[in-house]
Amino acid sequence: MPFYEKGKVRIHYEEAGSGFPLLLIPGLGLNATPPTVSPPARSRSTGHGNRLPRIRSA
Amino acid sequence: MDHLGIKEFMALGFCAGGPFIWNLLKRAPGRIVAAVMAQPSGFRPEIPTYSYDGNMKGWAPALTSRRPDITMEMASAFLKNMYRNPDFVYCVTRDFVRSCQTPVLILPDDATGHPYAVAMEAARLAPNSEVSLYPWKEPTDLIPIAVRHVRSFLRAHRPAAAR
Repeated sequence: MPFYEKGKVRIHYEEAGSGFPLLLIPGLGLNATPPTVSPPARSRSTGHGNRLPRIRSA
Repeated sequence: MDHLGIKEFMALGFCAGGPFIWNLLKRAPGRIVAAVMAQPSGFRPEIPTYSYDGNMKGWAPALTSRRPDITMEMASAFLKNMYRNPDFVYCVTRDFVRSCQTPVLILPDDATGHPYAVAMEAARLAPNSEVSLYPWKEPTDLIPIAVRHVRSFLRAHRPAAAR
């Protein structure tokens, strides 16, 4: 489970797909739960790469 | 995105992701080539503390029960910071939206935390905006139409070198 950390900020992210990058920011009541669509299906259907951050509080 | 070595990208955000994207557009101009804001969060003047109160009632207790290292005081500070500008889309001004040349597609909602009026005001102000249909979530047979719009918008704005 990859995280980006800087100071007190810690962001969980996921990478999937291929192509030009598309940053996805799921809201869902601030829980930022990534969608459950499988990466291969997403890649085929959109042609975009994806970045799925989960934003965690400091 | 610096961490991942990505300079330019597109963005798609739901709910609070709408304000997050406006903030990204302000803080990293030129890096987002197009953005989609679905059911974006916004300030509702008739219920001015809704976003803070609602999250302190629902989100914060659930979070702190899962994460014992996070206290309600920390959650409160986080939410106060997040909603510290009680107006419009919370994080940027109307003047910024007027000046933002990035193509944006907005999918309005009208749940309490996602005011239709704010979504449409942002769409009217942004010079390169598009608006999808409303409602688009119910009845559910409208969702594929909105998804097609999102896909065609993103494909249309991919840089030529990425096509």
